[in-house]
Amino acid sequence: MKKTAAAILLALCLSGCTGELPRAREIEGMDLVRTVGVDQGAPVRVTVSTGRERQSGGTDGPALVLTQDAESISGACLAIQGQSGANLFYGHVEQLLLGEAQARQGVYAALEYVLDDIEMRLDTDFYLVAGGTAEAAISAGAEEEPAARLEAMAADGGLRSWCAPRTVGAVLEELLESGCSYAPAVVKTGDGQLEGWGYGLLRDGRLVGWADSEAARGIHLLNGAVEADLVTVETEAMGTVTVRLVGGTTRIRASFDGDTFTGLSIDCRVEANLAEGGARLDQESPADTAEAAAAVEAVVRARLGAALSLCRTYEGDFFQLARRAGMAAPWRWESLEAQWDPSALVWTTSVTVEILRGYDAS
Amino acid sequence: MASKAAAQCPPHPRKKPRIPGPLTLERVKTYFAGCADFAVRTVRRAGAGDTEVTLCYLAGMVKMERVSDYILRPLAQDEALAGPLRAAFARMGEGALYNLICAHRTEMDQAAADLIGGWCLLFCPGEEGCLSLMTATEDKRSVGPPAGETVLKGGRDGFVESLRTNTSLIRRHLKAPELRIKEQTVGRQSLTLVDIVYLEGIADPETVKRVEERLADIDIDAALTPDSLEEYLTHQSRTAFPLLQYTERPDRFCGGLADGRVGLLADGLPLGYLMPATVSAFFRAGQDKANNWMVATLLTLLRYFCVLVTLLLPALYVATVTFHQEMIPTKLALSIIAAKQDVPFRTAFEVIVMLLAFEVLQEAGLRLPQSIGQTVSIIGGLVVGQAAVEARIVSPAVLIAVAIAGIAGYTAPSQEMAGALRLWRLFLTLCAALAGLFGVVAALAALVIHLSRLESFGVPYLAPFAGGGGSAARAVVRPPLPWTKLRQRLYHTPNRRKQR
Repeated sequence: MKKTAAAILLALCLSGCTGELPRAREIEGMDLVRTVGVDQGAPVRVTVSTGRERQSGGTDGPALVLTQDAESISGACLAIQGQSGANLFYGHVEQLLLGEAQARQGVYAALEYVLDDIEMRLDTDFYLVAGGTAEAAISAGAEEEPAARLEAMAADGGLRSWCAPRTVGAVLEELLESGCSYAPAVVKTGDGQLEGWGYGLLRDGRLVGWADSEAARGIHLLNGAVEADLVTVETEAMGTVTVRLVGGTTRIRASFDGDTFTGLSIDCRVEANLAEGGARLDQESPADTAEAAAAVEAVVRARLGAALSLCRTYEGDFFQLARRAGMAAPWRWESLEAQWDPSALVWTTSVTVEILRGYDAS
Repeated sequence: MASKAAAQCPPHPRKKPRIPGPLTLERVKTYFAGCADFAVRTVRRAGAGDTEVTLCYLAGMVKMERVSDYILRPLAQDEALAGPLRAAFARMGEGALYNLICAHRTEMDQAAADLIGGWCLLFCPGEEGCLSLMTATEDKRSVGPPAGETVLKGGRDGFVESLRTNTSLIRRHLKAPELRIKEQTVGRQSLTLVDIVYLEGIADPETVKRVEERLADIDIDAALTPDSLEEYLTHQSRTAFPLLQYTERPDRFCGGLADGRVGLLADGLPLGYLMPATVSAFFRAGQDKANNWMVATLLTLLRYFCVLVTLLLPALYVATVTFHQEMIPTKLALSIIAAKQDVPFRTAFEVIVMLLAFEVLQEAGLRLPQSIGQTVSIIGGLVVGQAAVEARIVSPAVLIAVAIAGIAGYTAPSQEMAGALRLWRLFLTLCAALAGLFGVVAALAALVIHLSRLESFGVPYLAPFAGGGGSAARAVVRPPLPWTKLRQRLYHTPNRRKQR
């Protein structure tokens, strides 16, 4: 019995609660913050949005949106507590939004706040608001709370190929390791809704440019994360053909001439399904299919080029190309690291598209 | 503490002999004077009109027909019993009275015990002592299906209160001549017969010896309830966990003997004990060997899972809702917040009250007559629960968590194990209310330490999961019977091979 009591006491002491038990907080006294936005203010403006409050009768009340200016993000979060009757809990924050102006000034403050805060998690999705503020983005959409809208957008990210979600942890890790990263961007549409809009490019903790449209799709191809992207091409034999890209792998290798780094060799293999157009099922000839595949290859090559040229334009290895090339040939890493210069990046792409029969909606 | 309490009690010497003095008819009459069931019958022998013999018995304990046909009739009619009394007395003892068991008693102690056991005492004038003839009645509950263990497939005979009937049931299942039945008497007032049953050459002799010694050590007034034996045999009073396994099924009991365990039967108790008993034994049901091995394995895994659910669900609910809200999925957290609107009590209080209410309902259900028990259970469970939720006394999430934990607890085949789990469930919930997950882990650590310190007749309670005793997988997986060539190591049986 004494040993058992000693074991319990030891376990409690090891918990860090020596001499004091953890503080209990009743969940019904909490409001769960779902979305946090950081903008330039005086000097920082933080906007938070909570989940919809379930009311009696099964209906949902409006989401609570609170804004506060302060010297720091933590100061603003503390001040916001006073604006709400309930205890704001940041343990369920799902999205962190950064306005464009704040992102151009620096993203480290916001990301490191998430890292240091005991309630917030590194798997929070990180978004940049293109051409606007996080406050406006969060306040948009009176009927649908921003967290739900962004969640739906994240789920559709692959299908629509505009932007796939990235977490605070992933972006912060890349920034700390190589100084460059990229983060998905959202834009407020004319009707006040939030929509995915490519990616923002981050260098040295600041937003330096955007990758939208074809460049965004090129980023997906570089990551091998194509999910049901649609490509429409014109062919002589089959006319207008739409293929759905259902899978892809991209290998990045460094090319050396002796000890001199000459550029990157990018080998992209894509699987596609014929979605629309063409002859009736199983009646395309191999030559027709090859023509369609060649046309798709050109599109894929262009997309890859659009994404890679951003590295030259904005002088940053936003997509961790050096690391991936180094992983493919670790014995060349030191040489690659010494000669790496994204502003003078040269690459050769090899694209293979395989058009399969059948439509895979999974 | 126990020795200190014992030191403060007056001494408890055993009187030997219990009834001093010689054995005579007058002394027997005097000793049992005032007992309404004590009867005396004088009989004149056939052809010997001058002397009478006296029969003493306790009405209700003897079978009247047996006394009349096998004792009185030959006394009255058999010419062979006429003649000199001494010679007739000798012939009575040698078989002239038609009785399977006949003994010559010379001590009051044994004679009184025989009388109470349903024997007749036959006194002849001038003879020392008496003849004691076994004429006990066989009135007892008939063998029927066991009440506490459902049998879907297999023998439907169950133990009854009569010790001899129970041993006969065992002999019918295990016809091996090596089956040993050693008897002891327990209880100064109850003089309860207790049999130790084992298969010689298969049971561990050390375990048998341990059981015999512990049984002999029991010096109590009456062994009338199961706990009268259990608590004294196990020597472990500081645990809620059962250390003796019991069963009402003779086939299951014999299966345990064949595995190398030692059994115990007590007169008046319709159950048989098996020892040693480890924690894994309490999660195997009697039906497991009757089912397909895959089904039995799945059910065993389910039972272990349900143990975790019943122990941890209320505690984890309290811990996550009160201390670690970030662990709850967001949608569930929002749902819980909405459900707890306007509930005036703290989560920990709600859960503990509901756990206690569950116990109250269960206890009330045991006491209620069957005719109204079901109605009250429905009222208590559905109406009161529903009304409590609608009145915002408790939140639905708490009700669901406690109900699931309660139902999961009932999957344990052993009621004693289920009771111990309920007790620890409350303790874990209290620890969770104090310190969240740290409290839960600390309480779990205490539970594991506690279990690891228990042993049942020399075998660690956590065997075979810990402390040796063979493969832990065998405790969870029930392999096909043709694959189990050996008995379990943890029973230390001298002969491990059980099949070709």
